[in-house]
Amino acid sequence: MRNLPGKPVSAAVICALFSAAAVTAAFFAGPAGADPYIIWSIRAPRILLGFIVGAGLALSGAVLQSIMENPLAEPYVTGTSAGAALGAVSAIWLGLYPLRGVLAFGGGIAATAGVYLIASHSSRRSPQTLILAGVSISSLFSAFVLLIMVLSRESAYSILFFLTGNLQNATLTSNITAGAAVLAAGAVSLYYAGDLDILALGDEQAAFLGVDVEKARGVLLFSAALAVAGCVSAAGIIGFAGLIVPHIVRLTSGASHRRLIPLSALAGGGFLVLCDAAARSVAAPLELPVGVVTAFFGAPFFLYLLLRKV
Amino acid sequence: MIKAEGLKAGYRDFKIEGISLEVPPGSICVLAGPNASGKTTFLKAAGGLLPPLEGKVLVNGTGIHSLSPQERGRLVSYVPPEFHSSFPFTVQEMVLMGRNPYRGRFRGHGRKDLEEAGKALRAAGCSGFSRKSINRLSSGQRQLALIARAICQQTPVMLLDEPASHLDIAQTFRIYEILKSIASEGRTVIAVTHDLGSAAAYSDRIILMKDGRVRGFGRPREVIREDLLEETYGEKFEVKERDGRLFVRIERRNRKEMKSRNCGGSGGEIPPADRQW
Repeated sequence: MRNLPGKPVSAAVICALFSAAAVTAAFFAGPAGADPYIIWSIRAPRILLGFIVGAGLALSGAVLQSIMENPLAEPYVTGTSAGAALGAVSAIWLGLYPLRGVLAFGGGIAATAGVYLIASHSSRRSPQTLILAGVSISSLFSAFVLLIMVLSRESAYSILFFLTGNLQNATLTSNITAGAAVLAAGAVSLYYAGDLDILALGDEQAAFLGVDVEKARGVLLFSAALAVAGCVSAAGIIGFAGLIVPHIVRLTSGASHRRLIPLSALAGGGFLVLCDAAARSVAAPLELPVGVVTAFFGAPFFLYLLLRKV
Repeated sequence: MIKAEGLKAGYRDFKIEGISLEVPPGSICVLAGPNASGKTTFLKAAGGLLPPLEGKVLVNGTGIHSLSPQERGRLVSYVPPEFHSSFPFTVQEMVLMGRNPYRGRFRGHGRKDLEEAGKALRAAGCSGFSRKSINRLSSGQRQLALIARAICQQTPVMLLDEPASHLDIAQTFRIYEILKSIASEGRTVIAVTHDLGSAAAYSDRIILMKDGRVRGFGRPREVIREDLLEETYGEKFEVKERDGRLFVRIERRNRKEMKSRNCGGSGGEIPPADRQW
């Protein structure tokens, strides 16, 4: 990765300007133009939720990439999102629609706990085991989700709508719960920022540098799961933000988590707000799922970065 | 000072045992022996990462295994053998990680941390590339950066796993010169190496291990002996002294001897290649 070390201020300025521009644009984007009622009662909560979810996914992506010592880690390899999806989809299927946020949250945390237990009972306790356990649990839960979709033909569309991610259901409650989960995860990640740097270099070096490896990894895994479960229960599955935003931020901020965590949150928030503005305006009155837009923007940009050999 | 007393440690299928030795402060101790002889296992047990099954390890009189990770990080530092990171930390950022055992939560690096890192960078000769990403360094530079981080950790004991395995002869010399100056400050340096020549030239003590046990421990002259090396490596050695320095090489057997003897007396491995003096 190319980075410009020693320029943390400019990295912060770039992320702040990007975020501010994204939020400003989002306030005025949309078929209804600049109607004050629409701006304040419909767009504002939606923009806030978009910012919270984007920030939460990006900062958990940064945390997971470090504790799994793997640049391809993202909020969806730990089983959290698959668990949350199964929780929400079960709620929709069983007709418990109002409970889908709660069940999504519980499902996400339960899946992560399962992955963690499996990985810590294996004879080889390593980040690789954690990833493999997460991938297996994710596939299992995704299979259940598909099964439910096939079984429940009438609610298949609303399930699909949830799975592709959207910010339409932004309410005060969803903003507060997701916001609290993301803030808590952000605080824990900043508290452990020094350990995150060291964990990224591997368990052995971390242990010799005075890090309590098992404890730090466990706490960070669950704080990331908290943020992801909060985000998924409020907005469904939104891919790519958690994977690419930390990588893009590292290009300007360097790898140090004391800068990477807050700047990823800032840039991730801006990124998702921008993607959501595009999702609701490019094909208006039809609204695209925001998860589709993040992947449309994210995947080519990420490939461009890969091809530049950064 | 590091002291092992009746140490037994290891994994289900491999253990080191019966290890009792004391390495005094201010010395470089080289840990040698065939592959799979238990060198790295010993380093991990000595550093407190691997709990002992029997016995104990004392660093400056403190039992290393009873300490918290942070306390341990103030007593023992470690330089890994080879290492790649997917994340673009700069050399300075990596060296500052050596201050982790002394740091409070939430806070960034203070003036003292930066001063100590600067000193460590200079001592290991890394000042010229301190702002470079660790992924863009040569093997030699990366090894120096790792040593700088261990210096920055300011521990009485420094453990190194093959610090010079990928380096040319001049780089190896520079690494050992730096280790010498670290030892001269009263610290204990323990380095794993396969290079008996450097071991003889630079160390104050040598630990020779085979099959999880210590076969020889003492000053180079006491350990670099033809009979002891043959017993350890299963090949015939020739040790010579010239101008006060020891030179080691393996004697080539004639064909008949090669056939009559099952090659690889040390656990069925390929015998080391003939070494030039």
